[in-house]
Amino acid sequence: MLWETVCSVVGLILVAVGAFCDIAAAIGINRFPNFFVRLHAATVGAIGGAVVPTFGAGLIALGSPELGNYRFFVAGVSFTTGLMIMILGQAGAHALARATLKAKAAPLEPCVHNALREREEVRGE
Amino acid sequence: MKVTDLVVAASIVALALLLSYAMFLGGIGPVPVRSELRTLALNYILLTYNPVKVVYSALAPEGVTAIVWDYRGLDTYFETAVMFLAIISVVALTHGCKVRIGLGKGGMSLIVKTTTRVLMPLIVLAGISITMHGWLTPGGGFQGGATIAVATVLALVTYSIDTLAKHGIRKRVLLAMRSTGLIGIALTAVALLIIGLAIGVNAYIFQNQKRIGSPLAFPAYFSGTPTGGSLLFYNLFEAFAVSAGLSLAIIVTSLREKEVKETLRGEGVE
Repeated sequence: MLWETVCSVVGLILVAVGAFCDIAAAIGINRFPNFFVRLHAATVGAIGGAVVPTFGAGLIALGSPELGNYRFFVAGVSFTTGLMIMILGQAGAHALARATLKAKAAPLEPCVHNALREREEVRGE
Repeated sequence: MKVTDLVVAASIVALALLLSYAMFLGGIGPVPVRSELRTLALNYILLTYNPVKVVYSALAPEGVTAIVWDYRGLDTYFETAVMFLAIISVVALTHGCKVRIGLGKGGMSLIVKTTTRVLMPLIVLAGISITMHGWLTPGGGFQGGATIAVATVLALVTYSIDTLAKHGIRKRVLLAMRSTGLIGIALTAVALLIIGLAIGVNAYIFQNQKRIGSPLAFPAYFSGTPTGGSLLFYNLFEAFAVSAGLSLAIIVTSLREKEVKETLRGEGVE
């Protein structure tokens, strides 16, 4: 069936993209200069390296007729899990970054642009 | 990278390699290799769901739940009671400490709060699902209850202890829920015994299906789906008790240190 092949191929591409994102995130976490930029790399790993391949796994399951009806369960669980990581990943990264910034737990240098400080200056805080 | 880091890394690798080499040589005792199952394991596998030999069966497809709540139910009951005692002890230690509310705005940023609001119902739903499939698939009351308690932890961290108190999740309510769950488990354990006494038939404590010398049984099917008989009730009550108990433990451990110390020194007021 054509659509099954399309699902499998798109799924495999997504898994490959995920693998690339994970490697990029690992390099970023090791090489980036401070906590906040490393957190960005970690989020690349969480969204690109976990959500995208999870969606890919769901598509691969949909394109595997040998799984029978179970492929719909696998795909459903994959998409739900992907969606939940997508919601949780950004909220977790935001909470970590905000807490670190407020508590001044990590050095901010080198800093290119600090929108929060600018906003506080505008408000006169 | 410091030299000490290198030395630590190298020694960890060396330890792993040495241990695996010793294991390969049989240096840390013989590794048992069995081609066949032991009789006990085989009996569990053959009898957990066996409509032909009902007197030996729990009629639940999930072996672990069947063993935990049917074959060795009494043991599990006391395990649950031990956990209940531990929670009671924590509550007793902090007796008199009131959860003071309205001390500040509290809570994390709007982004985290919104995410939590979206996720909390999903977590509770997942917990209920794990509980309600406990006798069909891996999972059960404890796992489902612990999952539900995660929702409380999330709410506590993202919103603050004040919000929990405002929504009625207080120490006393949770303790009552926990006790209700435990009483429910105890009642399920003796339900058939009470019925047996009432109608003058033999019955056993922790009886699930028909046993030798006792014709009483919990309903094993609901519209064609196996319910595991009493396992359904045990799982439900266990989830109830565990979710309330763990939430209570989390709330007690998140009491403000200053207030707890004041109360323990006898300076606080109830």
